[in-house]
Amino acid sequence: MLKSFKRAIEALSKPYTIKYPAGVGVEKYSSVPETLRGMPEFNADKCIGCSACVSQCSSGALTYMDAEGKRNLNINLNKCVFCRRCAEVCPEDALTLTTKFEIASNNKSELKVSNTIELSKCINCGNYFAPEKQLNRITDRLMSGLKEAKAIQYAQEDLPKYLHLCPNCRKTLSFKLNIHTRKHILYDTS
Amino acid sequence: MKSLNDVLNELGNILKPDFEITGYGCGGKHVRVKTSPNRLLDAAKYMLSIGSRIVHVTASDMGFDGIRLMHIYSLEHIDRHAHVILYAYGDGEQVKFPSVAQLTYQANWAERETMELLGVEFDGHPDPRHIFLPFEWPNPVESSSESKAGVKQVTLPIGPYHPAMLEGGFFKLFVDGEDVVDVDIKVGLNHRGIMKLAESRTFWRDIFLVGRICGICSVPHQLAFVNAVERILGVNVPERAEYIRVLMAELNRIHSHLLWLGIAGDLIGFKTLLMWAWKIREPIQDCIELLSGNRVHADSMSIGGVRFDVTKEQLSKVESKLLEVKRDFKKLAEDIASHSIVRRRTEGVGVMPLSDAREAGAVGPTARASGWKIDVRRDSPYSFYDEGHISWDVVVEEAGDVLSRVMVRVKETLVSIDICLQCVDRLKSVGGPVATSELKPFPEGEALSKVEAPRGELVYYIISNGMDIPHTVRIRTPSYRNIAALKFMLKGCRLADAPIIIGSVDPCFSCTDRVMIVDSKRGEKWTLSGDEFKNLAFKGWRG
Amino acid sequence: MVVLLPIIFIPVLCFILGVLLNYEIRKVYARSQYRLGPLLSMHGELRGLLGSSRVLQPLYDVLKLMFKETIIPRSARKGLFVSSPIVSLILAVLSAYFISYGGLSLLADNPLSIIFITYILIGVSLFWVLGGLASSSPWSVVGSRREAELMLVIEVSLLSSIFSSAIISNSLSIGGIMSFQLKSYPIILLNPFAALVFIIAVLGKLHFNPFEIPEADVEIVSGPYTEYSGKLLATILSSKYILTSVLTGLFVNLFLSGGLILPPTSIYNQIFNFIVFLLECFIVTLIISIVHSIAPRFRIDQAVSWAIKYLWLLSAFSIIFSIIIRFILGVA
Repeated sequence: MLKSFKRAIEALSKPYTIKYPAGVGVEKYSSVPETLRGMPEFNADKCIGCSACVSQCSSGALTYMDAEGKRNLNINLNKCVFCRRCAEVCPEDALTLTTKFEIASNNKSELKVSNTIELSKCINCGNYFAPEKQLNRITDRLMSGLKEAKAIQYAQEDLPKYLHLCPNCRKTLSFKLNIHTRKHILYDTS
Repeated sequence: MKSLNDVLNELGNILKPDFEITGYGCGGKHVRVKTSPNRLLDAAKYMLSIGSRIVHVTASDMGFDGIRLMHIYSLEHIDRHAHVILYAYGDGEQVKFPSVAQLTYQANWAERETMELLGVEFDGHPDPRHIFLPFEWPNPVESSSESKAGVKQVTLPIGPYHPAMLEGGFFKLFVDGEDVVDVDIKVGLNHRGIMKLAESRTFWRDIFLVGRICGICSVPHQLAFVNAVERILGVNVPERAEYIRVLMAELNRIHSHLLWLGIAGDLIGFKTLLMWAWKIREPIQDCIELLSGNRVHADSMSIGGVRFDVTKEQLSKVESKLLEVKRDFKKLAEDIASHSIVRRRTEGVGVMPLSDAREAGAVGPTARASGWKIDVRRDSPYSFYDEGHISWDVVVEEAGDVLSRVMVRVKETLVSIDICLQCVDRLKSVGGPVATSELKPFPEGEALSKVEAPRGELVYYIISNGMDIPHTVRIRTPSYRNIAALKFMLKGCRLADAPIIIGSVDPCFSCTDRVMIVDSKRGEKWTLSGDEFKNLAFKGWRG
Repeated sequence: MVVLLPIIFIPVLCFILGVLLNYEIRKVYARSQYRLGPLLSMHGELRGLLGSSRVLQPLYDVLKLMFKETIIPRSARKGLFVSSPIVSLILAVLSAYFISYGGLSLLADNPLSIIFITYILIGVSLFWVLGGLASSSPWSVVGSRREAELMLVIEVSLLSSIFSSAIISNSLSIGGIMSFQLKSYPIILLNPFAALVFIIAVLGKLHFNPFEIPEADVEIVSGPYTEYSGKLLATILSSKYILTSVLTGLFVNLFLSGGLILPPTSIYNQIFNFIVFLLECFIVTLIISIVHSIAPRFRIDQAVSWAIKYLWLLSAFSIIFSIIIRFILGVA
């Protein structure tokens, strides 16, 4: 028991409790590591609205809703478990988990992180179907990945004409516009 | 000493003609054997006679084939990784199987759980009460407490609301003065339906679900799940990822044992030990937060590797914190082990001899404190715990009382700190990817994976049918076995020792209650009386 | 009118002293665990957020309980349940009159004050036990039984150490014991064994570790006080605070000459004596708090067997020792 006594006496002057939130002024939050998984945040410039994050969210906190020509991506912070799955699968690195952890609030409607993307219209039927930014990004990626001259030429011809078709119209018009096989091109030897 | 093939041949002779080996897993060591329901008892008798232990008894609804009942036997004392998964299909609407619980206590709780889960009946079960629903379901509860043996006794309820327990569990102690005459254990108060939820989510989302079964042992659950999935897929995990996995698992073990030491101190009235042990634990939490981003739910595992990489400066910070913890913890352990009143309260209390430990099926530090040398990291090595990569020792004590359980955990913590330092060392030199790049579509298959959680042996059994959603996820946590083993320890003890005995097996009620009643056979509506509702009302969760 | 002043003033002084001592116990207990403990004033940056002043935490506990709902269990024996805490508070206040607070006292000079105070102190614990038995809860029954067992062994030691000090000073009044120590040496130097026995007995009476058995919150959820709430619990807490200061004051009176360093002739001497009395109370509480912090709880059978083996032996030895000292002093 004597060793415990010595330890108790030593401890009298050295409390381990530190002030919340771990420092003052500039050093506030200095003991919080950068890898802390805190509140998620959208980067509105980079987000293309592909909603890959929505399909991978492990708790159903990320949802999207298409309404009035806009796609709203919402993160409900009540349900979010801060697992970082959404940031992992985002193809554009538009979603990051900041180190903010003090997100308690009296107001439930404040606990929402959201981003809005413009949708583009189908040139055939006029319905909104996909975000404009996503289609642009697809174009950029496709063009930068093609190597053969003929492929680049075909892509440059077809993309403006057929990219902005919604999936339904693409199905119904595919044979008429001959965009699914390009049969006549294959047998053309000129 | 026989080999696995000898055992299978003998089993085949006994079970002729209902014996068929249908598949292998884990490099040929997990053998799946199909037999018929009425031969299950003979097989159990043989397996128990050669010294194997029953790991789990579970069942799964395989659709047109019927309900498949599986007995998982461990033959690790014969060969590493050796398991025999014996199964039989029940047929018809009224599914009946013979009960193995009449032979050994190890299968007692598992069969009661299966009875509730799938409506299976077991013939000859010594105690066929509900385990997660109230005992008296569906009849209302009587208000009087019967006394046993005619002696006037007081029923002291420890739980569901009790300062001794951080989570809900119900120990009904029948006390006569200060002596405990009998105990009745009821779990199921923290029941969230995780196994059912896991069967309706994709494999990726299941990783995060499974990590939230328990806040303290979050890493082993994810590790076991991911190991099972990788065995089904057949992918190899890169070297650097394995070392990071071992590091996270051992950090988890250190933090869990330090937390437990504080709680054990609180249970004998030594609140100061709680504060001292938890102060030493803070640098470990800082390490876990630094590496993975969260102090409690590390979420570090992914299918085929880990989700983050560690940099050199993170490793050096981790190393310095680990050395600090090692120094402080050694001193604290010496101070406490020589404290006269602590020894008085823990020595000779709650003794469980080796024979009782084998009969009850205790696992983990509870079994190792009684002299039984079982440890999943030695018997079925996963990740890099085998001798080629990391060197460490299994800690065993002989006496089987509360003090031995304390010393086992204290020594295991020091061993874990050594393992962590070795991992940090290797990670400085081993390079490579931290996740595999082999992507495959999901095949059909099933796999068993075991992991040594801080409380003992954690078993996962996953059956996949080719979709991206698992067909069956069956989890058996170590607290399941250890809390059942409490029955042997609590009889005949004193009332003041009951909390420390319950605490000495490190019960994690969150881990124990994760079964959902998938009951399509019973009617949809049921009414709960006031007392039943009181018993069912506690749906807290930890973490 | 003048007579009423000390009658009201002394219990108030005792209560305030009890609150301060209890604050010190909690503060030292927390500091020995690397924690901060109850704060007297808020830290600078958080003052704007949480307000600037704090009340002494133990006083705040009692005041808060006065505003809470008092629940009486339906199956409790209502009369005994409600009256036990009140009677124990009255007895504790009564015992406060017999202590000399550095010279201030009402009944300390009564020629039989030692006898009175030992009876009254037994009565305080007895009514806690009765209150627990009237509560009709299994936890209170176990707690009361443990408290009764503990009282059996602790009261004997308390009595023996009080009487050791009375034997040495050849007087049965607290005032007489203090004036003896003023002339001669403090009894803690003459018979340290009796002082040691008294400290251990105080640990048992106030339910500090290692004798926290009746109130073990991990096993029996507060023991005899489980079913009390609201104003009745405030009564029990107040009687505990008063008992703390009475027992500490009694120790200082019997063994440390009650702060009487200088003869109480002038007003400056009396103020000095009072300050010395307070200082000695705080030092004694420091020791109690550190023992409370570093020892786990005994089991009741272990406590009884340890007390009978060691404590009673030491008490018997201290009585014999004080008889010898008295003989030596009488001859010299």
